[in-house]
Amino acid sequence: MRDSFRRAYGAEPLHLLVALATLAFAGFGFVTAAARPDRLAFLLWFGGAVIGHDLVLFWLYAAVRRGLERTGRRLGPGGRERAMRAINHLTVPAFVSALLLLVWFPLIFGLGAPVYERRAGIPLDPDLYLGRWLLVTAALFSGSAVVYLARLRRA
Amino acid sequence: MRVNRLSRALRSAEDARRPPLPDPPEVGPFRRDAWRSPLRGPWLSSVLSVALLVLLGIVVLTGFLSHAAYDPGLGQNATSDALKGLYFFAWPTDPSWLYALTQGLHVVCGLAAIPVLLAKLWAVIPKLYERPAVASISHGLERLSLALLVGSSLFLVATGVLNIQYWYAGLGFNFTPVHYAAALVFVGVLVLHVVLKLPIVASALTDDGVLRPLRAGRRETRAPALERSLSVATQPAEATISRRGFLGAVGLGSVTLAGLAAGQSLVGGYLRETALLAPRGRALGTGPNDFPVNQTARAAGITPALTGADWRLTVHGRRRLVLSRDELLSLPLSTHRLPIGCVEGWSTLEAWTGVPLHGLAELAGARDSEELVVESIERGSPYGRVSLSRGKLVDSRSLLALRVNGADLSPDHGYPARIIVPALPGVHNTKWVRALTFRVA
Repeated sequence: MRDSFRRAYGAEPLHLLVALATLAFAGFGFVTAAARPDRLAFLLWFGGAVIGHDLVLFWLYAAVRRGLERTGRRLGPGGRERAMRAINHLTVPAFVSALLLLVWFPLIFGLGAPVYERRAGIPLDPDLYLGRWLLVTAALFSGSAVVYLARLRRA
Repeated sequence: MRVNRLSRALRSAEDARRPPLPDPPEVGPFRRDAWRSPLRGPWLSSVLSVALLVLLGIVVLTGFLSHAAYDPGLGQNATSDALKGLYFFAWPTDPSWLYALTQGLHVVCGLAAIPVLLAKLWAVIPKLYERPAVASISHGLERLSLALLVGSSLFLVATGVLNIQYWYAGLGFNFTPVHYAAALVFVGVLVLHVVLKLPIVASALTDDGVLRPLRAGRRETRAPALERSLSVATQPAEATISRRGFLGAVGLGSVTLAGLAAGQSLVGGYLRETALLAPRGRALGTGPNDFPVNQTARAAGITPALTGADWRLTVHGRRRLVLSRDELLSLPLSTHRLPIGCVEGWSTLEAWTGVPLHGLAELAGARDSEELVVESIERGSPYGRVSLSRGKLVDSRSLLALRVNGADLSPDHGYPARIIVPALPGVHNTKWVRALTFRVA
């Protein structure tokens, strides 16, 4: 009995019970959102969230990273070791800077400015957050360069 | 070990797998040898999972607490009716910074989770292309739950991040109820994911040691044994970064994101200006009314005519009172330093002066009132009419505030009168109050 269930389902009965209970609860949440009049925007957003990273964003940053590695490899065996290390001192601050941009791009590019100004009652100077992001980026690369130099001296 | 027994019971039976669907062709990312990073494997996935579980655990808990703080069981307070029965307890007023803390944590931990979430997706992405795509019904259910898990977590993070930046045009739906509903999806599939993967995480951290893989530098970094996970590279390339370097970069991302925003959640002090990349970390000046507002009078449609000399506060209880601002100022007043914690994660601590709500209840002959309904001049807002539970009325620090930091409230801060209740979400501290109804049996 149990074996035939395993053959048909692919796992123990407990697996099915837990899966059905949790998926039903998740389905309840999904239907709660999908039953609203603004469901179209929700469904587009949710669908975008399911595929947006795995099928788009991942491949973009994977391509950038691969390009950098290829450049490093072309430097030949002598410079290679140093190049490998240098690449990380570029990609790590670039990663953090890109993260900040990814999270705060509406603020950095002033996309929500009309609402922000009405709600907060203070002007959103278009260059304020762009400038701050560039300064933080400069600080990140400078910090990385300092660590890189320190490691070169020690080596 | 109990975990192992559970693991055996829950594990998909490999021998029972038969493909019910045709497989994708073995090209591109569907070829297992296309995935080359030696970093991927059960240890890396597990470490990221634990970090993510802690951060998102805080985010989920504080998120549902935020819903509870609105006392959704009262009046029209609920922004979503889903699971309204769960919120059976009245939100407390003590400590006064409770909501500023929980909501600050919600936003800061949510930001800190973003790099960890991205790293986790990177670590397990070969499994997205696993073949057979669906090996059995159980495997299909697991993959469906993973799609919902990835979708709901990215959805929650992305919509939360856009909401605190006021980019509603990019959202296109009413944020609060939809964010809440998506959180229900997330919690459901997260429970399944944790139950299924906890044994794998436990054995990965036992086999490899929690910290041991961090010792290897870049040149000593090797791929784990092939059979341990589908995420392990079959033909690993040379590592371009060590595992500790990878996790260090992720951690630096989390600390930077959270660190450049956390200042806006502090109720006072100069540290506030460390919030360089956060919507509400900006210094506003030194005047008594120079602190952030969730919404200006102009945005709320409040005109000077509505709040001028003709403004009256109507108080309903067993008696009905109509009071001018001068009459309110002649009543016994109290001053308390209380924070306003905004649902968007920022907060501010100010000294408020006003008539205690219990004093007004007494004047209206409604000391025993169970619920106070507050109505604002503001129209068309979901928060134009809110209900406060009895616990808020009897707290002596709960005020109908008329002044702040020794000056009259500015129009943006709710002139002529606003509600200030300790630990209450900012939007329930109603501004531009026009009527108070003390409900009595």
